[in-house]
Amino acid sequence: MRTKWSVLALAAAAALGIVAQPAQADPCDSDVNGDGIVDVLDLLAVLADWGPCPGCPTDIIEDGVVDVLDLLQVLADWGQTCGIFDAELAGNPLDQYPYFEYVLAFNQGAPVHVAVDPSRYPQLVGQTGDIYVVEAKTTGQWAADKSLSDVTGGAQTESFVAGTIQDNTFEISGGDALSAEAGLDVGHPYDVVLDMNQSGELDSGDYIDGYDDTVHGMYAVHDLVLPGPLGVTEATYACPNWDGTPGYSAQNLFYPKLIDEMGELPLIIMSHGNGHNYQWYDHIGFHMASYGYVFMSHANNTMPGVFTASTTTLEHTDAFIRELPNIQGGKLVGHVDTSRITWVGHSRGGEGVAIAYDRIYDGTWVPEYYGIEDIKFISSIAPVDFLGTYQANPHNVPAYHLWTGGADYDVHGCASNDIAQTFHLHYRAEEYRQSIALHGVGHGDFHNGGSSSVAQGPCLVGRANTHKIMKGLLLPMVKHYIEGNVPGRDFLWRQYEHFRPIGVPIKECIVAQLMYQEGSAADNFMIDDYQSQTSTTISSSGGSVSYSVTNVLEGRLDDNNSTFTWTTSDPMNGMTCCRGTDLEKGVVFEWDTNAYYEFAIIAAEQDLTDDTCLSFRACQGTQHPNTAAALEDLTFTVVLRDGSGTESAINISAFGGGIEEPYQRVGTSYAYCGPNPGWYNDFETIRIRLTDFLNNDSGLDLSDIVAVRLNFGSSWGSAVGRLGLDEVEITKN
Amino acid sequence: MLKKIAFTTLAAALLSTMTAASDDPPQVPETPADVNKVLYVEPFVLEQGTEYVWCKEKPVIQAGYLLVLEVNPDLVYPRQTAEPVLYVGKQTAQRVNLGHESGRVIAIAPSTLDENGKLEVDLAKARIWFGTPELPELVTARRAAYEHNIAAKRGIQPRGADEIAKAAGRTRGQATVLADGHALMRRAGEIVRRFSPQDKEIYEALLLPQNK
Repeated sequence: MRTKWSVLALAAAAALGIVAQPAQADPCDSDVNGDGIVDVLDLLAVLADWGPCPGCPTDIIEDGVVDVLDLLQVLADWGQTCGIFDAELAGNPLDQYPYFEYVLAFNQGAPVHVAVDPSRYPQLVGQTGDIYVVEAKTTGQWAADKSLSDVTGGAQTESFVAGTIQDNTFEISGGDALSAEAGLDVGHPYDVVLDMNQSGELDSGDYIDGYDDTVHGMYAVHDLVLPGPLGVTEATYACPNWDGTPGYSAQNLFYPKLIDEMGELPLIIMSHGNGHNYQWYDHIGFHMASYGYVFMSHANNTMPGVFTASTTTLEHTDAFIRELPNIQGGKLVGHVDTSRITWVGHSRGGEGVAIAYDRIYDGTWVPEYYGIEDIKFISSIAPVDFLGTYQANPHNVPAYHLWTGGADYDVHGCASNDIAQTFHLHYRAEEYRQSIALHGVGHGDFHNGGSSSVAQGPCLVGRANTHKIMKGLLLPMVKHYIEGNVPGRDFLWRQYEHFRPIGVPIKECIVAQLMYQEGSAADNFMIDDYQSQTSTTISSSGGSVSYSVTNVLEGRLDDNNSTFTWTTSDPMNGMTCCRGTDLEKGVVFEWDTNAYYEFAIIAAEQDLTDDTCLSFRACQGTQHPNTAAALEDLTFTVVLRDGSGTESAINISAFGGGIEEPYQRVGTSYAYCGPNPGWYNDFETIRIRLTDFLNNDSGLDLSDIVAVRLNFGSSWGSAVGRLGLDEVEITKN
Repeated sequence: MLKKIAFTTLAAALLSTMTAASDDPPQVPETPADVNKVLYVEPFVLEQGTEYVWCKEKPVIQAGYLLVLEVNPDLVYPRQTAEPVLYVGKQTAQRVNLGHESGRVIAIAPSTLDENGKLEVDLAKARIWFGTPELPELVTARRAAYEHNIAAKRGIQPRGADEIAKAAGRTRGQATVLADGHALMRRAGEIVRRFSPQDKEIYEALLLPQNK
């Protein structure tokens, strides 16, 4: 509370041209609009409330009237920053615009950088602060203890300058030595703080990355390929009192050795494929059990067919839960969380788990010991699609995942056989879904049963390497969907060339294509999913679409003949996203000169300030002359334009790689798909943070984005190309 | 000596190549395709019937034959996509093991019982063959009859009394009485162990003891 006399003294001093001394009271009282800085907006607010105004925040000196004394106080406190600012700070420098990517997950041993864009934080220009990396705290813990204790060996003092984000990017000394110890979890959490008043405390005027109870500033992640900290017990037995299909009662169980000291652990049920064996998934079983899961692989009755396989999955899940008192002497009773069940299926088992979910969903199967709401995650490994849209359908399972091997010589993916195309099940899933497509991986590489990889094609990955990739990616994925792990999600969509688990092989031609699509709960805005509005000039959200790319066609993503040989009569050549009864649609087009494809954003959705990313998925068109012209990653530039005409552009290669070329496989024998190299089109997801478009004073106004344009051609990326595009959206997360 | 070593080395290398190539899935042979030989026949009767899921109708079966068939291994190479369907007479037969390594398939061929309790399917008069690739669980009785007609037209012959009698061996038509479907599969597991030991993982699973 300031007295009239101190303020009058200030006024007199100001009138005499003497520099005003700061008032003894909190200068942040002058931040009347609460935006964190005392500036012209606060002055205008004072003027707006001029006159008697008891209780008004603009009555800064609290004398009941807003007058010159309050105005002078604002002037005296001019430029004061107030409050704690939540800001993204930790990430990686990039070689091209936006020159920095803010990320959550860092592999252990990787450098950690902090960057501030002076155009977005002009108040920091000319300031010096201490950068702290601290053990993460919740907001309550911060309120109770504001002290900053750096874990990298000491706070790092840096000065922020005018110029670019590159000029204000700092490597954290000791950041590559951060502990990644996380016990059973993925990622050791840290918060990152800019202590601008160098008080050694998180207080007013400081910036923090991670001021949140669940999402912290950054996470150091250990090698996810390595086993977890728990010892594992394995057991093999016939499940008793089995009233399912006779002779298929065998179960192979993995669980933490000291499970009786643990709480209720999530359950994973594994359903193998035809000709496979229930004991061939120990690589997954050991791995997941070592991180606190119960994993049961059962003998699967696949030879009659996929529907029978689904019955086996359904019955084994029930039988296992029912028989817990009898399994392993009852050791697991009270330690299996039957409300968090994951189903994993391989091949016919991969379709079987989707059919199993469909049967519960349709009400034609009622489990005894669990319900549909308990199935939280389904993962299909190279599944077949015998029964099609209305039965092999994961529907609204909270999360669905697909593994595909590009060299698969069994579920080969050729255009000639709908049953052998794995992607159908992925596109039928309605909620969160992702896909990991691996070039050079054969059908047999996914299991651990020895014998052939069942692989055909160049650059074969082999079983050992495939298992490393499986372990490294399955763990964060399951942790994310089953336990809400935060940094695990980074492994689901960040460009694999740029960020991947530490222990996965890095042989040059190993390619992993990641697709990631959020579910309805994410409340994202779909600009265009091509499912409605058949016109090529109107998006599914109702905005106009304009373009100068050529041969634009919207339609079902389904190759219309039996080979991958390019022909103009098959514009969806190489697309294997659906079969005749599916309706998954997208667009294809091409360019051989500078060209564009642009979406107008409808008025109701032009304010993107509360959103996080622009996301879309894209693929190259296999064997098209524009694809064959340069067998390499295809790149292009994404442009946002605001209502004033200001644009900001980011080339997708900034984040590592681009859109991969199709796997250069030539199929033979029953997998013959034409004489030339080039297998199906694999889509991959590209996500770009919207705030990246603001870097280096782009001038873009995210509150008024009127268009998203993709620029193609030599000025913007690859000189020529043929692209498939789908699911262009603005995401909240 | 050096020539012998060189030749041996070369032969080993070639053999290795051949072995690697043979691991890859072979083309699905043309169908209908006859089985080569019936090696073993054991009739069975169940005290409690079991659901037979190897056809669309999923009947409850009470009796049938446990068979060991010598076959072209390429017909039973395990695939995720459609495999040739094994038929005995005008119905599908259940394949218990894989058989692609041994060339021997252990199968269950259902049979109804007459009023005297005798199995009605006469194996001597039955055609035993592999038909069009499909999921057996989708094969209807009508489809099975269609496949049988095709097989007959394409020259698949009934097995004949001599072959069946020889394969029936000591059982001489005496049916093994088994408690239920579980017991049937355990018995099938024992036969797999005897005639197709290469399918070790299958018979071990079928013969697993109850959980410990």
